[in-house]
Amino acid sequence: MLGLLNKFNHKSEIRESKDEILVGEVVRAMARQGCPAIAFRSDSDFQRVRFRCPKDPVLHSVYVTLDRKTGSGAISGALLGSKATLSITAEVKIYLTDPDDILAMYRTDLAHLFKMPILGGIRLNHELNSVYATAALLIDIDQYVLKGEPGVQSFMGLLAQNIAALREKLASYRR
Amino acid sequence: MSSPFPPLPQGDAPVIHVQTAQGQQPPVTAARLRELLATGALPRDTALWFQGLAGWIRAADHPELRAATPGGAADDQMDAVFSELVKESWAYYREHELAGHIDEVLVGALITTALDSGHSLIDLNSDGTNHYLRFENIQGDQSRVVFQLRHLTPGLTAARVLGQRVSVVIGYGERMPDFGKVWQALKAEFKSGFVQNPEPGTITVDGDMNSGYVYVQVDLYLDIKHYVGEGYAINYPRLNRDVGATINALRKYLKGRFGR
Repeated sequence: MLGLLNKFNHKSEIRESKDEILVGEVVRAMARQGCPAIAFRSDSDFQRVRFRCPKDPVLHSVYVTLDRKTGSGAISGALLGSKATLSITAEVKIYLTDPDDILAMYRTDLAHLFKMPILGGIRLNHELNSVYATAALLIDIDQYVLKGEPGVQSFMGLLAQNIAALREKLASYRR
Repeated sequence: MSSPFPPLPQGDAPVIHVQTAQGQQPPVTAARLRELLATGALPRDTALWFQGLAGWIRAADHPELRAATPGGAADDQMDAVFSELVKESWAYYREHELAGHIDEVLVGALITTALDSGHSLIDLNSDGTNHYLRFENIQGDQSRVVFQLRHLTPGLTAARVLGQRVSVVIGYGERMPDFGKVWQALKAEFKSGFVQNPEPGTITVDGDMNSGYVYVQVDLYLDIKHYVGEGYAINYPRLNRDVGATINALRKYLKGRFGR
């Protein structure tokens, strides 16, 4: 009886952990591409990891945020799957800006003020010496987790494609 | 510093518009403009505009004209000094930044190491200083590995004096097939509760009635510099060796103690 209960609880733990499993794979894949993780903010259904990209010709760092919306429980998982928003933010560091650069960037910020990255667009923003570009997607974690190497590769393809688009958007800001 | 202005128009066509206190002057070529500025015929704060500029600018502000204006070379020299100061400041800033997040670089390296050994990350909690990681070999024997890290020297001053230190609790757990073993572990956990401030090498036991896991864990202090080097280079062979040896010792203890 206890064995059965333990088995049920174990299954439930793994179901709840699908977002962490995916984040773990992201950390390893980014490390293999020369981008070590440098910051973690995480609780039960929200994970944000910042990666430093010392070898990237354009990007200073990349933030990957996974915010799980459904699927932690057995019923919601069966009905809705494990839906999550995946936000990818790329950062370009400007080591020295002059007032004209800052003015030009404020104009860009204004143009992007009402742009919603969740709709598939890329939003630009700048703070102090950084320019950020963000893309957000709605994903189903079940498509990628516990599917072996093909699942991981498929997710990494999605991530790489989005990072490349953000890099292209930010290339002109690199000084 | 990059120039926010486009380069001066080349060629013989007089396309640079010039405005002085006396009013607008006839357009000139770039070569003629340099000449007028160098001789002092036009002052350094002459306003100019050409195709590509968003508005009128001061002649001395354009980098191609600054050297041509009296005092421009000195201005360039001051800019170079300023640039050097900013460059040095960034080096200083990066040193502080790395001292603050080097523990998180280690956390990322531990995740990579654990995944490479066939485990999946199933729990991650972090507030930036305290980190909790739990892994399970889901497809294999379902064994679990746990890391609890606390950065002890988060500032550059502490790091310079003491080195980069982290307090780590490394745990190893297995699912026990019968209730007796878990009960035995719970009794051991109760005894472990009397260890208020565990000294390095102290092995404690933890039982989880819900999932049927029994964990043994050990307290250690690690020098992060052994694993994270210059330019975020990770010494994976050393990390694999140290984590592997610890897990191996804990596994032996668990099997010896609970006979699985």
